[in-house]
Amino acid sequence: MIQPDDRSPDLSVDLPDLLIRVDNDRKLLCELLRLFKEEFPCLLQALQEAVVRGDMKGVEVAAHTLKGMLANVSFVRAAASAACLQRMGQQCATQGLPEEFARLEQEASLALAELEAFCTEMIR
Amino acid sequence: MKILIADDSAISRCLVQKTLECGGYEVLAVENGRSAVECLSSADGPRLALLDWVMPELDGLSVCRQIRSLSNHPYIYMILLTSNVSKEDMVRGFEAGVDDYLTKPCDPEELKARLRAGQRILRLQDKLIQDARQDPLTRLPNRAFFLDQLVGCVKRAKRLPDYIFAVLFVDIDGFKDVNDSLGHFAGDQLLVQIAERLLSSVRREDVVSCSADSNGEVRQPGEDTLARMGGDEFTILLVDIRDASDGIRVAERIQQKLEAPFLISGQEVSITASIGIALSATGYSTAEGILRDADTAMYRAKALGKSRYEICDPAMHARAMSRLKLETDLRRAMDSEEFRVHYQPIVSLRDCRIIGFEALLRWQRPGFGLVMPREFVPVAEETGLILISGLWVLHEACRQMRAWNLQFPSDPAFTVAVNISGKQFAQPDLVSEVDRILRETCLDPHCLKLELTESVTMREVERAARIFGELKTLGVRLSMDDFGTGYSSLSYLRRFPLDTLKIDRSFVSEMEDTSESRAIVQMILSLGRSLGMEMVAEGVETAEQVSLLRSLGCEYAQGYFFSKPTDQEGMAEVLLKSRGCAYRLQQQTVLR
Repeated sequence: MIQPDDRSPDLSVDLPDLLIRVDNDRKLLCELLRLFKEEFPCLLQALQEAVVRGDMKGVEVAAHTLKGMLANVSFVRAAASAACLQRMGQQCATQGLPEEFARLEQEASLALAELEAFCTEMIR
Repeated sequence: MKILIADDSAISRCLVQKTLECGGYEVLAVENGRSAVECLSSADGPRLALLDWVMPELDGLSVCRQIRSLSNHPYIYMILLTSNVSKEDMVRGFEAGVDDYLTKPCDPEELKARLRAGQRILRLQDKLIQDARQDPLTRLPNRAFFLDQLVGCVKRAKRLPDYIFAVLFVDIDGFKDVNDSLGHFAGDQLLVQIAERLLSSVRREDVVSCSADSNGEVRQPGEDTLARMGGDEFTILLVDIRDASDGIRVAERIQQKLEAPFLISGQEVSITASIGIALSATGYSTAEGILRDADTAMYRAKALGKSRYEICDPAMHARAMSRLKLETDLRRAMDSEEFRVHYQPIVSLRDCRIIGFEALLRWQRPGFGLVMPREFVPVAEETGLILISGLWVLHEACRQMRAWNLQFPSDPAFTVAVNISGKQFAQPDLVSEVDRILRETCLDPHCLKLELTESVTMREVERAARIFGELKTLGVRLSMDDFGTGYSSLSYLRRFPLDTLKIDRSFVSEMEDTSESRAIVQMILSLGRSLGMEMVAEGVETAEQVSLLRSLGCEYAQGYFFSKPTDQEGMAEVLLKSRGCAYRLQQQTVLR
């Protein structure tokens, strides 16, 4: 049985929340991680391309999808950043768009590393 | 229970699927809106759905709208599962027709709780639909469901000329007697058992006819339907048949299945059914049309003796329409003063002297001219209008006779014969009504002859004898009409205080040609004489008949040979012309 540890709340992944959602199912958590690693790069790339093109509708849609995905794996700060990008897309607010995208990329990367580490530790 | 997850995110699908499978759901997962619509609109698709909002090809809101626009489709409980969390988004979701709204990431327990709530709503809704389509007593489809099915068949028959279906209208004969004698609870028990037997009669080979399914889902064409329309009326829809013979086979099977007695509250009860059959091949544009004709055919089956079936055809429909108009017009006729009384003289065969008249009802029907009783009296009998019109004739005839007896004195005074129908005779106040009319019109009761047929008097002999006695006490005379055509017990005949026997016209008309008829007339005359009655031959039309009746000793006669029935003005003219010769009908005054 996986037990959530008492890591500090400023971590990128809300592990207690995630563990409740998977009902402490180790195999399911690993499956989610695998799916995330499979899906996330494509979606991130679609968002990046929309940011580069200045396609604000594209930004909104891609950020929305990412937001849902990140929330499902409890990547709290990355999900907040995706929500911010979705809002910017809705409001056609181009200012600070690349910076926010970079923040999302970074937060997601940190969270992924944290989750991977947790899963590795869990498997051991 | 089956549930659909539509989400383009594999993580989301995986998470929710895991949660639901643990909760015992059978999960179907698709990754776009178009596949979701396909899955949900299929005949055996899931009734629960979790829809993501943003999806490729078709978003969750569009899926919802498309599903809600499907007619005749079972209700699907749809939950929008989205990361759009604003109140505005929520409102848009509900306006598109979703039943619930959940935001990502959703809590597994909350998700399961909301789905349980959804299932409760679906169950309740199915029950409501089922209750609205099912007869609670027999669990058969009800009238509304039957009409829905029938509408579908009528539409199908319009599209496909070779598609034939039939409607059987089944009415239980004598059901009211069971209700009245054994009570309503027993009546209900009987209906349930009848429904079971009808159901077993309707099954054709592999075809099953029964109630709406447990989901309350609309059944596909290709199944027969047995429904309870209410009371003791059942209907059967036979689909895709070859011809009328299929309907007849089912009708015969029903009658056969109902033959064995039913055991109700420990008592054996036997019933029969009258069945009307209408075929779509006749060409109907509405469901009501074919149902109405099956109903009409059923009524015809009842009228022809019950426990039988009748097939409706256009001619039958035309007859039914004509009868309906007749009934409507007849109801109006009394208020509009359209009834007339015509008088036919009754003459002495010895000297052709008028001794009295028979009062005959006629109807001056607008657009149809003068209508004879045989065309409207049966309807008047059925509707009870005969009671009002019968009293009116009696009153009018008494009034006229009083007037003629004052204007045209004769010795003895003229009599008037008035027919009394079975319904009138059954009225408990018949004697008091006759008494009232005699008082109002001041006619000498001895001048009134009430004419009854054998069938009416022999139906309740004891009662008839009592009523006859009371009428005789009033001073009224009694006559038996159409004698020889019905069944008369001669011993009862002796007990009745009858004054006159009227020999039926059928014997008189054949008297010249057949020795049998002549022998019957002779026998009736002999019988009447021995019982001390006056004898009147009806329907006399030829001089030969007059001569033959005279030779047989018949005293009185009426018929076209002497005068056809005519209105009061015409008859007053005859009386005026014949007054000088003691009201003898001379050749020149004989109306033919």
